[in-house]
Amino acid sequence: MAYHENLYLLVFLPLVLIFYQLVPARVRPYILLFFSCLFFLANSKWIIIPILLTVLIWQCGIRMERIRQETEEKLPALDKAGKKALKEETEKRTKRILVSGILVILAVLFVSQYLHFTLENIGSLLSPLGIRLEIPVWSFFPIGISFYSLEAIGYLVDVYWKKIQADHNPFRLGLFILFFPQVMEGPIASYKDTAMQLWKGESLNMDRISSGLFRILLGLFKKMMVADRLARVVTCVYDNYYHMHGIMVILGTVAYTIQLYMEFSGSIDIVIGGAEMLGIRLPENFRQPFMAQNAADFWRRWHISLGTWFRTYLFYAVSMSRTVKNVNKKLRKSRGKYASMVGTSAMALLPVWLATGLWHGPSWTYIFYGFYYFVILLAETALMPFIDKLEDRLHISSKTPWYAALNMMRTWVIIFTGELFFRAKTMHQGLTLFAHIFTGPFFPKRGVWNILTDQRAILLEKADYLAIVFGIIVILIIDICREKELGLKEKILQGPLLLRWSAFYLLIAAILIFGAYGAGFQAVELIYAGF
Amino acid sequence: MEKLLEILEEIDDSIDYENETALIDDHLLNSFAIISLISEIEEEFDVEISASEMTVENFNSAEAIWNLIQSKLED
Amino acid sequence: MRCKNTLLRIAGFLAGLLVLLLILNTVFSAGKWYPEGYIQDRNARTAMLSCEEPWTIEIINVGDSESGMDFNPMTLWGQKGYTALNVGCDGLTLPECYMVLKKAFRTQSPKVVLIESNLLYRSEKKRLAKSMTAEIFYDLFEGLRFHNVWKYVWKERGYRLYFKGYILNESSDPYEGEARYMKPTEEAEDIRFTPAQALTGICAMCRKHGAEPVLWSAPSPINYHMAKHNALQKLADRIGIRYLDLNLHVDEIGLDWSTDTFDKGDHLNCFGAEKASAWIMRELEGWAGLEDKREDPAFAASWDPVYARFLEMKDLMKGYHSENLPEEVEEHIYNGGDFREPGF
Repeated sequence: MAYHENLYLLVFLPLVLIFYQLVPARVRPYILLFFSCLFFLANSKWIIIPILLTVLIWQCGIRMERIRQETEEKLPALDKAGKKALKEETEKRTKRILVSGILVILAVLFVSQYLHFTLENIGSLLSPLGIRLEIPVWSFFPIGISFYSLEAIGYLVDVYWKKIQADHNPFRLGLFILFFPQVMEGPIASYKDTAMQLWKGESLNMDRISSGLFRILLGLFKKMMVADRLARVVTCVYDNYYHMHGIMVILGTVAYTIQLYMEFSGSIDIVIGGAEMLGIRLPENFRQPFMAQNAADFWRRWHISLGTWFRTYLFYAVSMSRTVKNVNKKLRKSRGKYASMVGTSAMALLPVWLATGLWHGPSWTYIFYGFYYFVILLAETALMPFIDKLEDRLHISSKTPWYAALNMMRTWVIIFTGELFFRAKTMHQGLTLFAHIFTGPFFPKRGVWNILTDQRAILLEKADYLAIVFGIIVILIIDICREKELGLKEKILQGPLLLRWSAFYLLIAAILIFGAYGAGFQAVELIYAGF
Repeated sequence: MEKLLEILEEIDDSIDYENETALIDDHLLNSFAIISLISEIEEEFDVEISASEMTVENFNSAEAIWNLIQSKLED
Repeated sequence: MRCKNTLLRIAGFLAGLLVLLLILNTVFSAGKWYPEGYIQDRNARTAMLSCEEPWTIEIINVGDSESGMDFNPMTLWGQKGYTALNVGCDGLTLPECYMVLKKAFRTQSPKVVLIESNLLYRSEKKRLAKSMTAEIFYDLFEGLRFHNVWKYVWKERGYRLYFKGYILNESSDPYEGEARYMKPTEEAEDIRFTPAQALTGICAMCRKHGAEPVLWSAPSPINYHMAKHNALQKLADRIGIRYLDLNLHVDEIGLDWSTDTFDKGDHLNCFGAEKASAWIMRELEGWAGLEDKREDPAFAASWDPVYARFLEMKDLMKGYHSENLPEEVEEHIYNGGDFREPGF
């Protein structure tokens, strides 16, 4: 039962809302927890994994807190040297708990996501030596594990960093980990921002319900008008990658990037909208990514919650570590500021981007994808001073319209190239497609439009492209309004009843008439739920 | 405080630091800028800032950064 | 007071939504678009059912492509004047089967409902659940089922040739495997619980509407073997319905695998279907109380032209699949100016 399915939207979610409203406030969090477990079980039988993770972080948090309390109690009786020693001892002990907690979480993540891949690669390394590794096939995939593993680690580190108090209530932690709207594909939330909201059990309220509903409809619109249709083009290009002409590769890649945006941001709209109906604000995950000025800017607008997580818990942790700081100091003395900045960036960025790549799954294409952004982002940092100078000399800035447009399009090329490899099943496939852009005939003899509307190859009709273009234009207008902070949604939702309701009915009618569903269409599974 | 403003000006001189209160929220300072800012501060004031203090609240305005440094100096 | 207001607002909104859905029902009604050739996809037979003259059908045959390809109502009309109709579609699921019969019983009172057994093997629970929820909504708001009609703003109308739900196909691609593929065995490849329950429910509904359900298996070496037969027989006995397995009577039916299948033994072509349909007809005659309607002028007026057109097309399309015609044949059909489905 995924978020875009009618079973979720028309049966499950309304049921939750009704039960939630009917019971007293005190019981409401437990209702959410119950339905969250139900939702998880409807998707995967491995519910024991998130439950064990919850117990683990619950106990680790409490232990860390207890050690610190004991220290606080002992401190006043000690002299200065004793205080210092005890503090260091406490630090060591809490750190040990933190590290072992994180290791357990990572181990579970490794077994479910990466073990098979690792064994396979070891096997292929050993095969020239005549050793054959029998790799058993098993299926162990607790849905959404990549998402709540990060949330669990974030919780532990926050307790360790004293940003939050350890939670003594295992049910609240369980709800934080399992909360049904986000368990499958994020956004990755922090305990500090969501857990207490989840536990409040506030009454439903019409404004929030209509605002949430609007958001859900928008998400469905993105998925059913655009994403599920473009999926056909993308599948065709990637399945027949060997025979693709340059223009088809470019079209396929652009189509995939748009599909991924519509699909992922659309399902996040459904997630955030569903949570909003229950009175819970989840963090935003997208902020008009295609209006980014450079790759770094893109990553502040695309899958924001993942970027934030890696920045907070990996990038800063690495760049503020003693080793990196020392290198930084040395470089600064011997080679100057610029070298130290590039050096530190490289050291902090490499683990972040390798981890980001690998987080998506065990595949060389994802590792490549991470490394690709590492190189691009490092280059952007390294070139920054020169570009600044150049801009000064030419009297242009990021506010100059033509220059901003140019930057935006340059960023598109970077994004598209990255997604070309991201979608590829193997590096071979990715590289072949990439090479086809530059080698071989660029235009197919049959004509691009003839291929796109070939009923046997892509299964899209001319009218489907009409719907795609219409959908993209609508979303583009909405995104521009958001970027300019015009508050379109608020104006509609606070406007007169007639305007409000017609907006809803229009959106519903558009989805019901022009959406890709019914005969000849099968809804595409959520892409990010597979990560 | 003046020293801090000098450091900030050096990183990006197009921002009005005395009045800006959303340096991070509005993405005026990116993570690289923060990293160089911290190494400058650590050198200038002889304090050590740890990863756990890398929060939005601590870096959203010059005043917040100043308060962070002050609390470090008091320790 | 506030609470009452809120509830009123919700009710008002839902009422508006209902109106919207009812409007879609009228705009995208099968009766309006199907006869004009606008509904060509998987829903075509369901749309056809909406347009059928009420209370005229004696046999309804339901199932996936096995049933749609292997049973030809034209044979029954031509030989004995029985009125039969194929409903269902490629890859039909059990919920779809249930709903299409439910719909059929609103306007028809068949004496026999033939259920082809291959759909019992489409048993993935998730898919069944999805299909069930979808079907419930389609049943209430049928406009949604046919919403894709809007695509004809940029598409030519089609002419897929349905003859009371049978798709004419004369191409052939022989089956070259073992002729005695039903090797005796005691084993039974059991049918899962959910499909078995669903079939029980479907049969109960048929009986409630005065129709006798009959389970049948299309002759197909690709899809059937003895262990399946044993399980199906067991299931039919348990529910208490007749079971006709054509795979056991290939010789009696007179099937020749070198000429009577168009995809190496998966489905029958027109020649095979004619033999299979005639055999099923003979099996039913003894007990079902079917009536010859050829002498009834009301029936003859609507069925004879369809049958005549069937014979004409059969002659015209020698050796071809109706979905894969050479251009000159396609042109001939177009130039005839008749976009309509036969019978309207």
